[in-house]
Amino acid sequence: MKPFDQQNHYEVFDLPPDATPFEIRQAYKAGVELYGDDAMATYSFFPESERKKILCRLEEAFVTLINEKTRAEYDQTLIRGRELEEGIRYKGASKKPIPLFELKSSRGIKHVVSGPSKPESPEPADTPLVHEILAHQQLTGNDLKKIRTELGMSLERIAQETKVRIALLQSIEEDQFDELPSRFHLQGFLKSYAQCLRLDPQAVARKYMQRIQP
Amino acid sequence: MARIWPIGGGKGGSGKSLFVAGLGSYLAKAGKETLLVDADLGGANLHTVVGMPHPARTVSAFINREVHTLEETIIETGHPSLFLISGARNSLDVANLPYAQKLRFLRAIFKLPYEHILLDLGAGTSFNTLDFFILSNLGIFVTTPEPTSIENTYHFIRSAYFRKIRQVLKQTRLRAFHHDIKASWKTPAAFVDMLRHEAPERAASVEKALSAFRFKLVLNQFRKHDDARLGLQICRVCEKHLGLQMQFLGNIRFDDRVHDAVCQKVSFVDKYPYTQAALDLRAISQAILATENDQAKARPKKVGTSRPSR
Repeated sequence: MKPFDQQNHYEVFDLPPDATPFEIRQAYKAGVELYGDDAMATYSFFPESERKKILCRLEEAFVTLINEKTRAEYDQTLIRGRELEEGIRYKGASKKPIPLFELKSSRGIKHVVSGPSKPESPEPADTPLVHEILAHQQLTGNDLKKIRTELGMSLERIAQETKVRIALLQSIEEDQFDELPSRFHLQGFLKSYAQCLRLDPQAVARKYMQRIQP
Repeated sequence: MARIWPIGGGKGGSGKSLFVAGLGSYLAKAGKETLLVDADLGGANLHTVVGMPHPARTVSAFINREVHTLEETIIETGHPSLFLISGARNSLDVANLPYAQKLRFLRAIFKLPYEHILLDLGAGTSFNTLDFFILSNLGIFVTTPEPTSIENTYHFIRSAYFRKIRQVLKQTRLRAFHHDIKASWKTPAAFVDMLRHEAPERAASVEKALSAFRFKLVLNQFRKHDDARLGLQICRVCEKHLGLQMQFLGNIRFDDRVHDAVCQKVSFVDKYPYTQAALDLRAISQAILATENDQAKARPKKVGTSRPSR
């Protein structure tokens, strides 16, 4: 391992060279907590001057990496020094903010759902409870809720995927028919809800709509 | 081949003996032949927390050559797989063991036929304590989440670090750097760095010895409002600035009943098996057993060539 004072800005934070600004911010925050004035973990580990030096080092690394322009310049010096290859450099691809739910979602959910527009894989999720509920002639809002919780999907996540308001989704699950929009719109919402859970959209919408006859 | 776990940590009262007793008890319950050695030569009391207040034999019999082998000082505890070598209580010189005696004791420990040997070390950073600690690469630090304890732990880590360097350099007959060790006490990384420039081949052997360490860390007496990230942070600092591998094994919750058990001179984990502290200890013992499995997998079996590693 390289000694600390010879590490480059990424190594100081233990980050890969393609780390996102978000990760850099997190690493900087963790670093300040670790070496800060009140930090217990480094108490008495360093002489005071040494610790201040490390804090300055973190500051310098953070200021360089968090600014796109200075980061690109710094990357170029690393590439010239053969410490970094062009291919694995961070390109600043996404300008979009990172959705909050994306961060919270665990890995388990990710493979169940990867977006609303996924017509391939129409077979319903394979758990006995889901099979049993889907076998019914009609589906109530509560049935939908049961399937959703069984699959470990949050309402927020569905709202995010389908762009349907949470309040409306709640109304669907609670069978509050007065709150629901017109038949036509409702059908559309039900279909995207079902798609989100990888259920058959047509069947789910039909079975739910049967209960709101005309 | 025995796996030797020296348990130290610098500060007194951080719970080393209780940790040894608890860990030993769980290892024995998992069916492992386990031996506890009280290596706190000047202040032995492990027998009390194991629940054996009056040990018939102690290690002083071996050190004073009343018996020939260390095996003869082993006593049985209540559990069929758990054994104890009690520390000396009745001799003035044992606390300040001469070098030759110490070597004899260390060598004897290596030969004992157990699966796990836990060495309970005393507080402080005397050479005896340090030499017991770097006897194996599997040292466990027990500390509490308080500045005093952490300060002493870092002092202990640093001392063990330089003791190891000294040991390696002595073996390669390089005494010239001893005063540099004193000068670079505050910044150990700088010493290895200097060595790299002055004597690259020596530096390589030092770095090899240091990187062979697989230290573990336990935070004991963990209260509800303490920062749960502390253990990982300490490990990170040691890895980043000393180049020492350190694995955080977990926190052990503070429990007033530990005090009760000690006062009653019984084993805490047997008396209060369902307290959070006992459950934490059990989880740590499982983590330790898991590292054993990892290494067993990683190391191809060679029949007849196994030797205790130094």
